[in-house]
Amino acid sequence: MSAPINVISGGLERGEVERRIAGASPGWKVEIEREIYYPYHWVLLRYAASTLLGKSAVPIWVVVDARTRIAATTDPFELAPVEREQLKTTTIVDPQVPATDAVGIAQRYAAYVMRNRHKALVVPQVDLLEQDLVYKPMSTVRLSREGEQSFRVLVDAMSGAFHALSTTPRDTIAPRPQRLM
Amino acid sequence: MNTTVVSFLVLYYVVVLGIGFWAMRRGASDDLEGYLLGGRDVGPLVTALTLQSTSMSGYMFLGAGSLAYTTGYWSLWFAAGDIGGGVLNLSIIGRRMRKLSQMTGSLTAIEYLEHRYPSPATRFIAATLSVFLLSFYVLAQFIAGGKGMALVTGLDYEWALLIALTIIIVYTFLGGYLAVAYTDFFQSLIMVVGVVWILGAALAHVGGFTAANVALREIDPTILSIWGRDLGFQGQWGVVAGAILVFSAGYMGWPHVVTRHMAMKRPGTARLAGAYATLWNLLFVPAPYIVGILAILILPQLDDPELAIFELARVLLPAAVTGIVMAAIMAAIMSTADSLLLQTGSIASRDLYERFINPTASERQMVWVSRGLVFVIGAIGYWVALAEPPAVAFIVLFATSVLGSAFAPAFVCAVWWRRANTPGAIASMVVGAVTAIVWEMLALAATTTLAPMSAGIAASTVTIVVVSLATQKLAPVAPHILAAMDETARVGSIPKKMLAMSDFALRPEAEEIEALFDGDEGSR
Amino acid sequence: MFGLPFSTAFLVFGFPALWILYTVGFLLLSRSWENDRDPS
Repeated sequence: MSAPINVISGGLERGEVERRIAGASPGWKVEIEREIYYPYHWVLLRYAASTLLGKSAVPIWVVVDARTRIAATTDPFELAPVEREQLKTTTIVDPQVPATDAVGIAQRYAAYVMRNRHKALVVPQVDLLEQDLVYKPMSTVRLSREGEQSFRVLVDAMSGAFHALSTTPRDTIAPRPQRLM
Repeated sequence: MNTTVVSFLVLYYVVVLGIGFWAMRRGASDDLEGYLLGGRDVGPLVTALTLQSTSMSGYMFLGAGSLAYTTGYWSLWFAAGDIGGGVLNLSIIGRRMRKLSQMTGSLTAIEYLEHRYPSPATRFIAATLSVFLLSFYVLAQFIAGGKGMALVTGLDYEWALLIALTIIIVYTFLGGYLAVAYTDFFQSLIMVVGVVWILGAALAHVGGFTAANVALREIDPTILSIWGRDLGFQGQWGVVAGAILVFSAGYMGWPHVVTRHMAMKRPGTARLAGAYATLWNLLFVPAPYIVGILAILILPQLDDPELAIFELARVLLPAAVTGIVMAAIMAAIMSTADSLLLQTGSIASRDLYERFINPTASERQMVWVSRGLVFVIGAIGYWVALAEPPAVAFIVLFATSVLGSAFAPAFVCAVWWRRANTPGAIASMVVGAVTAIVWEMLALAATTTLAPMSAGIAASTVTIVVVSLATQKLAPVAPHILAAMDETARVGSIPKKMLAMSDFALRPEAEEIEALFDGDEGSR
Repeated sequence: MFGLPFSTAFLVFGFPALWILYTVGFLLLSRSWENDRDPS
């Protein structure tokens, strides 16, 4: 029996995903192909720095893509544990970035973001408060229409944002190490 | 010493420090709000206004005024280019750079260049040039701060310079105030109010624009000419072109400015930001030049033309207003110096020290490298500003010409030309910088009637084209870069509306999922 | 105009006018940019 996985909750329902995609592509038939949980390392940091005006300390939420190592700050979100057994029809993407790497990436990123806000050459103290592997719900949706080649899009079920798939030949995928800061 | 002016200066700093203190207290209890993806959250108004003014305050208040005071209407050629600098920059590279930088995971302009033109040499050259040239902008701010401080307090220049420099460096080391996202925006606003106020007062004093021009014609009709006093630049179109280009096209080559494209909320932000930039520039850019020209009438015997705008403020405005305006200008100069020092320091620590000297550097070591550099720039700056202070306008025009010549073609081709490759970009940066520097050092403008900017940008543009084409077989542009450049244009049957709405921020995840499914699904 | 020779008047007012035209043209041609990342 494996441990439950933490999924970011509050995503769009299936019907809502289909409606949004249909809205962006009038005349096309829209069907959800797969539901996917995509892994991110979620890291909560405390960034503290002393300046002339006293100590400033802020919590920062960072997510690090557990496959591409790309970091981003994020708004707080809720998590819900889901048993793996319940996920027969869902594809769970495996993380490839170790948690320790993710913390390093997140700390660097947070320091970068904060330095831009702070305008001070101070040595910051970046403490790790919490960290977890979390999964974001996504779906792939196939769009088809009479007489045209069908295609798929990836939909982020949290934001409703989407990006076309089937358009990226293998050799055009960026080599990962170059993506590091 | 004017007590009223000084008390307002002090009051202004107390208020600014108070706001900083309050923001800090508040920040300590609050979450970091409003950050979404990548911290790229700056809207169009702030993008437009901070794009330019954050690096220009010293030039605006000393350089532009002195150019106008000494050359008359000829100086407006610089304004003619500058007004369109923002919109030109945003319309040509703004949106595409915002997208490409995100897709390649770049955080700074120099990193972006290295991702687009992959090679350690790209980063090394870009970072070294930036550190060197940004130091010139810092020097300009030091001189401006020192002169302003001397005028306001009545102290000797050397003491005033020392005080201004100490404040700037302490402020940079310790964090004089917290830059809650909008600080630069606030400074910009105060500067424009200040200079427009001085312009209004000066126009009222001389009886209006037409009366001023009539009076100028009586002093010397060539002041009104587009060829400079005594028609010194008559027929020199290469010099005129340089003046127009330096703050329009040249401005696309400033790494510290184009970085702001990358912080825009959405790629589409570039659109409104372009409109705001034009509006703002129409108001702000010509004003200091016109004030400088009016100063010829009001203060015909000025010892130091760089102080034209400051002196006009002192003569024309009520003491309390002078205090506020001068305080705001000084604050803007210091904040600009602070920002420039921070950027220079972080390029030195991150792009040079960490990348090439100590890859495992801790955050603490990097801060110390930055501080060391700031200290060195401060010391050299003090010595230069004291020994033989060059004209602020000269320093800024020199640094801008070199930066623009070195980087503008590389930044523009990065998003517009699929065949621009690494050797092309590196050669272009080196040739552009060297040409502009040599042109300036050997004073070739006088003999060739071609400004360093014109010569430099022509050389770097030709170089990137020729070298990229010549080395196309040897160093083709990597497929993933071409794919990122084509992001939206390439796809066959996908509806246009859908493509336009596609969120490129999801591209890395999409690539991963695609690669994952390739095996078990095949493509139809 | 305003006591200025024609060429100078063009420099002072004409160039800004050209940039205004450029900006308006840019706004018109870039209308589709607003969709660039606005999925809703």
